[in-house]
Amino acid sequence: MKGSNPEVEALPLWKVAFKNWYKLPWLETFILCGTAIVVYVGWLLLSLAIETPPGVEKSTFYISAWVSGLFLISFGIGFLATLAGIGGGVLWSPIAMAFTPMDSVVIRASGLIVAMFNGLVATGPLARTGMFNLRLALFALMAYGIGAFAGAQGAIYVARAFGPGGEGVIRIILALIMLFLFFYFLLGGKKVEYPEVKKEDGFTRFFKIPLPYYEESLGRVLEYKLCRGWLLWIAVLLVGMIGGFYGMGAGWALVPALNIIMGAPLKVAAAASMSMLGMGDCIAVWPYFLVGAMIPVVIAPLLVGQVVGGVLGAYVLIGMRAIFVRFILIGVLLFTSFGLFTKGASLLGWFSLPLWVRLGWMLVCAALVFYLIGKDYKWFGSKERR
Amino acid sequence: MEERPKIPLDNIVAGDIIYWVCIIASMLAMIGPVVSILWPDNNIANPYKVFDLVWEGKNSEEVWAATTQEGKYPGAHFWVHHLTKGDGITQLGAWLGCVCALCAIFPAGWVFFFKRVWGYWLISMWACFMISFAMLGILEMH
Repeated sequence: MKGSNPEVEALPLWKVAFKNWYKLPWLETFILCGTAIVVYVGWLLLSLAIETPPGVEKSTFYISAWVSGLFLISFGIGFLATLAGIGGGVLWSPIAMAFTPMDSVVIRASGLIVAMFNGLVATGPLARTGMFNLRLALFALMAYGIGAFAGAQGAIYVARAFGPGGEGVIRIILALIMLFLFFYFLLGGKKVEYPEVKKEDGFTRFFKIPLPYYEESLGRVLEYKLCRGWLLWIAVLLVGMIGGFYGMGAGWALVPALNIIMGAPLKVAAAASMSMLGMGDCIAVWPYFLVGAMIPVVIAPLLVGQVVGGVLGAYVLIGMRAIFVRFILIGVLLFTSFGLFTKGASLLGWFSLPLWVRLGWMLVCAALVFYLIGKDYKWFGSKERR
Repeated sequence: MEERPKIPLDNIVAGDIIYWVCIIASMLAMIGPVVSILWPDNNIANPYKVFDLVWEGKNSEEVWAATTQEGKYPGAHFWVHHLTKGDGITQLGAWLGCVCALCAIFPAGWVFFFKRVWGYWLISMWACFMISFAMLGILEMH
């Protein structure tokens, strides 16, 4: 890690951080976290004592609570999403669409900010490791950027053309996507750590993408080959369209696409996917920005939450076993999918479910998460933890 | 132990620029809302009204119409003329975040150029073009 001292490498990470607080990257991490605490916690408490300006209906505390609340939600999402290895947008947009009355275009615009900053904040540290390959990210960005931009334009067009009925249909389709993701994460997805590419095709070879890197776990320099670049372009174009349309990023699909289709080693695919997501959403975000769907005071705390949550999540990830976070996310995806479907059905005037049904479903999802964690830790039938 | 391959300069240039622009953008996005709330008159859109309208499910056009003096969205680049205003600072933070890929890919592209990697210089310029194209709102479907 940049700036870390080899003498204190064996210490726990938080001790290393405090010992090297004046060195990069700890210095900016402390400044960022300190400012966030002052702004979102200190300011919230101070606002209780601040007099409300004349001519406004709401108190200063009310508005500060909104800002701090959005920050905390985004921080939680950024933190959990980083631990689970998926983008933050895949959680924010569906949850906000399912459980808040906010306009879907405003949600999707803020969702892209969430997805984008989650990817961007990881790019810097990754770029100083050999796993990150700018050539691979740029190669895939050519198609992803076009797809994401078209998806974002389509979202604004559909919202304006179809009105409340369209809002319902959008939520139901997103519910189906969430259900698909639930099964995908539940079954583990098919990924290969070091795929073996026997023969490069001419098209992919022309771009000279591979970049050898030192693989710590193998203790040697890993050289790899890539193939089927044209197929990757088609896949990421479609993925970009979905991500741009729903404002939910696409890290969940980009990693398997790079890994399975092109044969990139898993770590290289994950690094390229994060930077591609960040850079690609810099294109997708503009249609929303230009129509005013990015309301500054709403997106600012979400943006900061992703940066602070993403940075801290990345540090915590180094020293913890994150599989149980993945199980929590599986439960969240199932619950959100149900919430989206019922909200969509209600908007279309099909049916409206009473609160006890929603609460009952929440219990079912919680039981599933408990079962998955218990199964992984061997709580049932054996006293020995795996 | 094998020697570690050198990290290419283009990787470092792109990664470091993205990282630092991202940090600066978040600092601005933290300061902006505090200025907005402290001086509600020093804003383009009244922050005390925004959250209620957003929570009522109003679309962005309705929110801007109800909270600004002009009754409409002043445009994505409004911060240029309103840098002392609370939401001007916040908008600059968000804007900076949304152009950080452009700030990173452009110089990285020139690193490719000086290394005579013409293909990736072209791809980098294409990526910069796509971001600029999206940013200027040249193509709109709505």
